[in-house]
Amino acid sequence: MNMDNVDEIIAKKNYHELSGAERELISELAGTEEEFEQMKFLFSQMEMMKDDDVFEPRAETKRSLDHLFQETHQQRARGGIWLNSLLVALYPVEKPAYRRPLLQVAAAVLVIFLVVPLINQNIEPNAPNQLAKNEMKQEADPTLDENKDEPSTVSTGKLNDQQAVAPTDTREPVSHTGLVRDDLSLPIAIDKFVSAESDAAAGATSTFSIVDAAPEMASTEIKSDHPDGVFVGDHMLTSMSAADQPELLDLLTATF
Amino acid sequence: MRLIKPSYEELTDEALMKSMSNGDQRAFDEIYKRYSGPLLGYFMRMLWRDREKAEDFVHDLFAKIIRKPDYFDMERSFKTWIYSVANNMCKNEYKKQEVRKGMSTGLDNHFSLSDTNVNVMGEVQDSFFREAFERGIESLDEKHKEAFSLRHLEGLSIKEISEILDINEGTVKSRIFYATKYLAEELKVFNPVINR
Repeated sequence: MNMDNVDEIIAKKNYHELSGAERELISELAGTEEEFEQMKFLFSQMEMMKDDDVFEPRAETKRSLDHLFQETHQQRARGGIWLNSLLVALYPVEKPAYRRPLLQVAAAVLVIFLVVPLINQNIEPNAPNQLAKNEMKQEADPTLDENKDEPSTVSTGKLNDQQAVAPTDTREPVSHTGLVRDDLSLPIAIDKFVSAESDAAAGATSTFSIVDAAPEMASTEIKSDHPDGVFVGDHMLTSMSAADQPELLDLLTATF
Repeated sequence: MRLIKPSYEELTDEALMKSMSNGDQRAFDEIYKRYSGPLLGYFMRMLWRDREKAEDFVHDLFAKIIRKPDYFDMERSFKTWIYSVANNMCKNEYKKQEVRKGMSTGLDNHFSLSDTNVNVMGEVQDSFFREAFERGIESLDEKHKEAFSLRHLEGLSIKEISEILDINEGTVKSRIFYATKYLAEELKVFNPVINR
């Protein structure tokens, strides 16, 4: 027999409402109507008393127990391993997960490890290519190799460093012609002059250079007695007519 | 793992006991809030309506829990366990009283005391029915009283009572039947339906 059912039937139903099965169920406890009413009355009164009987222990009892609790757990903390208290501080179980210091630190470390590589990813992919390009350029550029052999230039390593920082000005006409400063003579002076003129003239798209025009002449020994100083080359010790070279004519007329 | 930890009110007794054994004061407060009142009522009913004694028993019971939380087996129901401890404390007290009674001049100490307490303290006993009911409870022998109290006053199930008293469910039922019939008979004079 289920006691819960018996109690419920007696508490909620009247005797005349009971079915045959229910009467059978409660017959052991309440066989007659009078017994049923006695039980019903007792249960209802007990329910009322339960509602009234709200017991509250004295505050002294709680204070005494609180004191005992603190004393007991302080003793345990003193006698226990100090690491336990560290663990309690770092991972207090009574706090929500997001307020536990250990998890907060772990989350911060995780974020750093996840975010920093992502930031670096934007820079890194171009860097190796650029470096590779520079190296290839150095190898491919023959002018750099030529400069290496020149005693007046800086050492190769230094040069490369400089090139990595700023592009080198390779436009040195002296290195091309092979002329030295001591041999400065009129054609070179003219060449320099022409270059300066052409640089000075804004919008000048083409420059005139005797060296460019006749490199074979420039490489030869220069001997000139002509008062105009327009002679070039050993084998061409003839004067050049200014009319044949309109650019030179313009230059001469503008200069002298 | 839950991100938001449930409040102490939502935690089960067993979870609270676990926290309490780790030194969580708030877990202890919650356990005390849940059980101190019902246990005080239980002790008062079981110990001849002696409020002082009941208070002491509540204190002693919680002190045991504080000092030796490991006594509680986490696999068991805390409610069942705490009532079984309370019931054992009452049994020990009965034995103590028996010894005292044997050594005394033959006066029934606790019944006379309880009667005096009822009359003098007069706690919430403003009706004749209540007095009669309590007298009826007192007059029951211990085994019937404890079964009846746990069932009808503490609201425990038959299974829980059988665990607390360490007897089989059939025995629990028969004890409750006996006590209920006895009290109903004793108190029928207060029933207006029957006395009409």
